[in-house]
Amino acid sequence: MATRTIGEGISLTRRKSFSETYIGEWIMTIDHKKLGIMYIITAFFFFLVGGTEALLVRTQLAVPDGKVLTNEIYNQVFTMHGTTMIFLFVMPMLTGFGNYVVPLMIGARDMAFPRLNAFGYWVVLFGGMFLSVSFLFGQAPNAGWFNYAPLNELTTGCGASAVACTSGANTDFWALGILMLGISSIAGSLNFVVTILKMRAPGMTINRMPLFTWMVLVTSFLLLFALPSVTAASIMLLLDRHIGTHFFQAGAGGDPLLWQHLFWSFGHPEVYILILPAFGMISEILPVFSRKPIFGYTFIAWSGVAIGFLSFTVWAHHMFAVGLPLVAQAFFATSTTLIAIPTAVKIFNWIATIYGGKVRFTASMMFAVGFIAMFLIGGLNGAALAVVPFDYQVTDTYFVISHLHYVLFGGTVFAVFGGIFYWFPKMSGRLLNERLGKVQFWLMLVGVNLAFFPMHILGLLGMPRRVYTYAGNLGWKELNLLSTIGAFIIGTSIMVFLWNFVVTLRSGEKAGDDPWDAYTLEWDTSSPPKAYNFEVIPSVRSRRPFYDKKNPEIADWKTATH
Amino acid sequence: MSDNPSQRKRLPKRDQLTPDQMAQALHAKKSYWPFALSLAILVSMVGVVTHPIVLGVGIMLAVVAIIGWGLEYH
Repeated sequence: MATRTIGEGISLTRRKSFSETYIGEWIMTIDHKKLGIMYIITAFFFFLVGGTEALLVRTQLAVPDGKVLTNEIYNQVFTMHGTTMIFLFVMPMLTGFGNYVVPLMIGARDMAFPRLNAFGYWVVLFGGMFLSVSFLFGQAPNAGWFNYAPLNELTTGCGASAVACTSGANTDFWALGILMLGISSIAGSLNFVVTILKMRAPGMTINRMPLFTWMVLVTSFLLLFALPSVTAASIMLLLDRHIGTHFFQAGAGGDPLLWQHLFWSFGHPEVYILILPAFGMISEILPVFSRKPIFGYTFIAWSGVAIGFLSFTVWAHHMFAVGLPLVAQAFFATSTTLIAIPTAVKIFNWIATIYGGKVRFTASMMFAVGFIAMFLIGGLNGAALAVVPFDYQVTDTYFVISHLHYVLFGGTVFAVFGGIFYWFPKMSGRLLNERLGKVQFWLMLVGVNLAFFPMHILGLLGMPRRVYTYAGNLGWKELNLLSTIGAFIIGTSIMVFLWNFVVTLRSGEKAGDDPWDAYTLEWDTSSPPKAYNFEVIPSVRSRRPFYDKKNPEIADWKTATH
Repeated sequence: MSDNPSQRKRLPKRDQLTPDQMAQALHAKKSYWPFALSLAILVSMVGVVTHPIVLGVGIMLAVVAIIGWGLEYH
């Protein structure tokens, strides 16, 4: 008769804890690289949502008397398009790149506060869900991405509560969603500031930091100083709506312009929050594919700081038409024109970086060059808007829509795709298909110009923004149709990218650790990097530490004075 | 200043540790409290647009998450 020994039949394998399961791994992660990827994927998802909303808007406006959307749904869709693209696509996307790249670039093993980093991500995700779910209740925000009071507020005869006049929760969803996203941005900004200032590798002085890191630092300070005003405004709005205060109600002694001042003193720095990291990406991509060091490093870095400071002095150029005193108009027109100077400094330096270089026109480089051209158009028509009499004529028209889309799509989105093509091999270990990337670039370039250039003329012809339809005899229909065709071409280019993404993940070419022969420390790791980034924290002696390591005989530190 | 111990630690000899052990040695531990706190904030916001009870539940969850986060390794 057989006997059993103790322990026989008992499995020796330990059951996995929740943190070791696939889902638990992602929910509990505090690794900056995983969080960076989570930010980027989430942002891209919202880019598709916001893009779909844009196509709905353009379909509605393609022909006169459009009947695709009702006026109320149109209001919700265009409001959520702006809100989604700004707060749920561009900001998280840039934060995602910052999360993934900055610690690697500065030779750190993680962000300074890894758990705060995870918290920031989850708040963005839940904030985005909160805002988007409002559609399911038929109560999505509907007062524009700037949510002007008193449009969302108490009007005469509604009694003490603003909800009596604007009875839906549309405005509440917007204000609360922005509060949530603000919490995330504050957490992320604090983390970036401490990480960049305290965790750089030995030898990486401020003047040797990669320019992307510089711009993330400036952006983080901008967020810390700009967010309080929109947070305060949102809380005041909620108090007006639910408690019976009257901050923005002229009839009760409040001031509707107070909302505009509070919103735009956040809103204009916000524009630079959305573009400065893009400047940083371009400043990384151009030198690598031009096989030269960046031209005018110091000017590019400090012009970013100058833009940061000046961005707090220009907000009322959004309000020229409200009847500001002449002195105020002169001040804001001057400061708005001034900000063009540091911006132009960057553009000249980028062009000088390319000039005389051995340029490699990869997809990433093409998006970077496309960025310069498109952003230049957006910058020039922005400078035109600083001219007060001209602004009077085109304020709240499609000219303004054209300007902001050249800056944010022609600018930031081109930079984002440049960054995706540049850093995707580091994140995934695989190279995105270059041919598909170039097809996407050309489609996007054509689409952007077809969609947004006619809007200049529409604006000059007097087409107001936010209208849900228009009569056929106003001379706007051909231009609107062109614009809609352009929007669908952009949509097609995004489909090409998605196809490229899927194909690359399934069978993309292996990238190796340094596919671009790059200069900065993130490329001195495996692709994708190990959880701890660097086995040994690198020492830095110049602005191109990885270049130095690969070329010791002609290392920068042998000749550089910085 | 920072709660990230990784920059202060010396890396043990490479051949003595597996990559997982190395990552563990250099990183702050994983945590579900950041997720829990952000979920609590979401519940609170939903409470503002729906019902005060939901808001109360959200605030309670947030307090629990903050305490849990703070005391996780004490």
